[in-house]
Amino acid sequence: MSETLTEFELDTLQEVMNMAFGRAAADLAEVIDVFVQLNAPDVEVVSLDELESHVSMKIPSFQSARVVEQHYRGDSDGVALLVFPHGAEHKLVSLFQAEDGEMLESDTVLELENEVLMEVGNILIGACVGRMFDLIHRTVYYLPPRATEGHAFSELTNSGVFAKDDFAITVQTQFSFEDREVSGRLFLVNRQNSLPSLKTALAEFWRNLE
Amino acid sequence: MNPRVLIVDDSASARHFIKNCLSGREIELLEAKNGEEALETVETAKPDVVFLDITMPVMDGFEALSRLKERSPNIPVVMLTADVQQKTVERIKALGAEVFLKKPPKKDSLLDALDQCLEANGQ
Repeated sequence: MSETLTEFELDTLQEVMNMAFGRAAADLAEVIDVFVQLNAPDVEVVSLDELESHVSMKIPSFQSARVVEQHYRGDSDGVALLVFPHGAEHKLVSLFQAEDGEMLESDTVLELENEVLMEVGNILIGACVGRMFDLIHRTVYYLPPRATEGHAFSELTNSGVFAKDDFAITVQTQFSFEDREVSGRLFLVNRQNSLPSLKTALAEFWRNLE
Repeated sequence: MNPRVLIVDDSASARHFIKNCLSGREIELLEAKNGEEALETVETAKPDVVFLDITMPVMDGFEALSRLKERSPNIPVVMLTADVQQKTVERIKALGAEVFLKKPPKKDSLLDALDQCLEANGQ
């Protein structure tokens, strides 16, 4: 990374993400009508070069993990990748299943799991990332999400869409819907040219509240 | 002696912001980074008001509030939270916080909350 965040800027970013996730929990609870707990996120900033090794350290079997990927454009250009561990889709499906719990045939279950992952991923990304950009008064719009797997990370670096000195904000959180605990990791990969705007927004964040 | 106000938040920038907002008043400002530190400070420094964040490492705000109210039930507490789900708000009230503020708090809200707590304390 040619430029990085200062300690104060990183602390402010962490606090902004805390607030974004807190508000996102409330937004989600309204949408899916269950109590949502989003644990305080743990925020780090890494260069795109280091991202894959960073991800493999945090999620050893990430290559086969389920991922929801969603690109965004506007004041910041980037992509959000929400990584779910194996088995998360089963817990999430049960959240949306009818009370009679009718058993479905396997093809339908797979389709359903994909759909639920995309839906929950879309909601979580929209809520958390949206709230983050709201708080720092930046506007982005989202392209449709897609469900994929962990190889999405190497595709990012190999696709030519992002450069090696672009950066990723990595956010680890654990979320639970009522009693169903699901952990997830959210990665926001941004162009290096978004960094000055982000630094300005973080510097203005507290000033705007006075 | 000026009233003592304890600010509890794991974020240095959040503590800095709240201190700046309250610094115009004649009060002594204290800080703690988590619930455990907050309880130690309450024992030694006996603050008159506590501003308490919820999501913190080591000991979160809910546990800190619960223990604080057991030991020092008369110290008014202002809870700061971004999660405004009904269940969370109910839990904050049930644990005995006098005020809760949505994060990020505005300067006016912080000052109003301080005044409310100091008045409740007879100051």
